[in-house]
Amino acid sequence: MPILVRCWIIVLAAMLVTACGGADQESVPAAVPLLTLGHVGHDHQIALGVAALEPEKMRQQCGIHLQELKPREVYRMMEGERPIAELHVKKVGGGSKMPEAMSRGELDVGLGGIAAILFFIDKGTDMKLLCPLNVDGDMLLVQPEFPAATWEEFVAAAKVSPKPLRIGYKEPVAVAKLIFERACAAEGLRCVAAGQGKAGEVELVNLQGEANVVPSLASGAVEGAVVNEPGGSIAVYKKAARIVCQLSELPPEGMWKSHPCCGICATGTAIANHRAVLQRLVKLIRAATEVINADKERAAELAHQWTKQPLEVERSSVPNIVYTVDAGDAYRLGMERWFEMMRERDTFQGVLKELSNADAFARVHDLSFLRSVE
Amino acid sequence: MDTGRHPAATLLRRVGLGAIPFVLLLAVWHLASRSAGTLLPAIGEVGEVLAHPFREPPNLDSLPLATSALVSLLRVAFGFGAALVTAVPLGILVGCRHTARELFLPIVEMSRSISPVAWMPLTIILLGFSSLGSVLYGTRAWEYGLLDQVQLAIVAVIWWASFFPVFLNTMHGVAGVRRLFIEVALANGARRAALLRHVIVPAALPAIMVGIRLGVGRALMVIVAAEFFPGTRAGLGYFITTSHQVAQYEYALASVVVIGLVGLVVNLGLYAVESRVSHWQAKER
Repeated sequence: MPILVRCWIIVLAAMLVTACGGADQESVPAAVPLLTLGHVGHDHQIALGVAALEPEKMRQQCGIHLQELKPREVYRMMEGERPIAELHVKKVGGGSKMPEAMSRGELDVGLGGIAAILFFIDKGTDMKLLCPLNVDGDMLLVQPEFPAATWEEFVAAAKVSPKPLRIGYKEPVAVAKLIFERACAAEGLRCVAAGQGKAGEVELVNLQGEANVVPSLASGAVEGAVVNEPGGSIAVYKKAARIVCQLSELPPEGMWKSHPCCGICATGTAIANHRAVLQRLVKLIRAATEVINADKERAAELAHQWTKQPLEVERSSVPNIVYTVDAGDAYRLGMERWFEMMRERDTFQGVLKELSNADAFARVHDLSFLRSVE
Repeated sequence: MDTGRHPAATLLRRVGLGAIPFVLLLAVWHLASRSAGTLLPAIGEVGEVLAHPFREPPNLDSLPLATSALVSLLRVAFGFGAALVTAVPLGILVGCRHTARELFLPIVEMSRSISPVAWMPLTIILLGFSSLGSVLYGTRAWEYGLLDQVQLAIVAVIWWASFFPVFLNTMHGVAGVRRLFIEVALANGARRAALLRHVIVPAALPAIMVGIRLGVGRALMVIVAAEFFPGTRAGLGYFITTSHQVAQYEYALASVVVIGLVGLVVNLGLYAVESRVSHWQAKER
């Protein structure tokens, strides 16, 4: 036994020595506030990546930039030469992980999917959306040999199919699935749960996560899938699928154009205690969004550096996403559509359940930061 | 069985036989990667990842493979270490004392069938993003190398996975110590501490070692699921789950190979320790 304990202690000590890389980085003044910021880690939130990778451009564009202390993890937010905050960036993954971490008080700011944010606000998490990050970017994929190149052809093929078409989705509350179901209904195409379909119908298959989209398409487990970028571009890059259409183009006509996808939210505590920092963060993200839209090729390169997806994937994905912090009429309409759909599905059981669209919009947003930088 | 053969011939035979499954596996893999199109990576692609363990993967948001392996080993070391220091004393206590056995066995029997992964959501709720680094250095944890990657939630899940094999084997080992050994020691005036130190623990050591080997094996198995944890940027399990998400399967397979090699080395090491501490058992037989 003593030999084993000694061995373990030696191994552990050696690992600790290796792991403790030493505190040679420069420390910030104690007075600078520290904010923890969570993000999903894909290209919907590359405004953050652009801000981190292009500090000089950001400084020129808006006077604020991020000084790197530890790549992809720790940044000092600077206004000119003055440090105004330290940002600890955490990649927390998609779905409900980001708002869940905010509800636990582990994140002050989050960049992620709006549907999940609404769900947690409804459950009582004290947070507000500060501005959108992007709209659209969802698509319908089919296997490469599937006989449809447009939505109309897809509907026609589905209606005459001798067996139900199996279309996968990544999770039950995925925006892409909600849009696809509505669009099918508008075309008179019936969507049913997996295993319950007949000829001429669509079976919706829960793929239990984005990671299973490509293998499911490649193996023929599903004939198609509705996904958001960069999932669509990854499937095409892997030659497992073809893009049929963007979901924003689906019927009812115009209904899905500019549908909100991701946004920035902050906890009530952060809003109360760090208004100045949040205002500058929104300003920085807004400037980064302008940089993305000014040169999408360069934005794809930066997205490749930030997300580490192959450059070909980002070159295909970034142009399919509309990057915007504009919370104008189109965004408001899109949000009201989400409120209605989430109410219809009984997703809201808390504070948003009984509110009108206008009241719910006011309840989930604090657009004062955005207005102050516009 | 091999008595009478030249040692070199025996070694050659063992190596040759042991290599056959690997060769077959590589052949099947090679054929499958050719026929399955682009999805299953070729052996060369995985070899390319393995050949550059210190390079940050160009198409994967992760720290280098070698760093990931080190982070996983740190997590296993702390999780398994915690299991060792809790399970062995508790196992000795329960093995020695009937009352302790009656007290602990029902909850142990109920708990040990619960998958460690089932605790992930709860450990995240209870421990959040806190890490060894944040416990030691607070918000400056990021300045201290990899310690902020040793998240307590992951350590807790590994602890759960490793605890039961160590505990149960210790308990059975202690309970199964021959009455004769104890009586001889007592007849020679041994006190309780000496009895424990010089008779019970050494006699139970072979069983404890079996528990340790099983515990380490379970810790390595659970690491893949446990490292699918928000806020993580390294680890062999993180490597696998992240590469699945972005369909870069060569990284997943490279990580699988490393986990297998780590398991092999750890097991060989533990066998060596086991044969050393259990040598008396063979003599007794």
